[in-house]
Amino acid sequence: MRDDFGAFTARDAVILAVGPDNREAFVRYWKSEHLPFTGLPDPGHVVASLYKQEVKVFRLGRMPALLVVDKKGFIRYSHYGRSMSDIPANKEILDLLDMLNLEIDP
Amino acid sequence: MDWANSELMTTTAVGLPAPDFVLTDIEGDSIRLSDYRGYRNVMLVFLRGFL
Repeated sequence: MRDDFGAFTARDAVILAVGPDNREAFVRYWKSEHLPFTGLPDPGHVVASLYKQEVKVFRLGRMPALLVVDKKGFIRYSHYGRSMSDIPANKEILDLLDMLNLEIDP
Repeated sequence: MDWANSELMTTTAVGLPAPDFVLTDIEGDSIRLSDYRGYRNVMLVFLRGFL
């Protein structure tokens, strides 16, 4: 996703990345990796729960999830990973953003 | 369909309004999802965690 950050931004998208780690650890990691996205620590899992991010208790981890919200505030895409590495391809999201940007308000 | 999936379908299903929220970013600024309405498409990514 970092590689295509420019492509996402060019399509009027902002990337909000919500993570379960405590704020201090999250900020340390985010800055060490120089990640360009908006990093949002959610150690209380409030937003993760709101959006039903799945927790695999016995694997001691959260599954990745990605949703796309359009400019009207509607969910237009959701992908809930079934494994730690189950994330959608960037192209799928880029194509969706292209479609959303073609929509014209009535 | 079990209860968990039913709730998922009714609260975060495609086509429904995205639940609003506010979180503090790494710079200490408040970020509210609805602030992007009319302005940006939002890719909401839920991470696995770094630790």
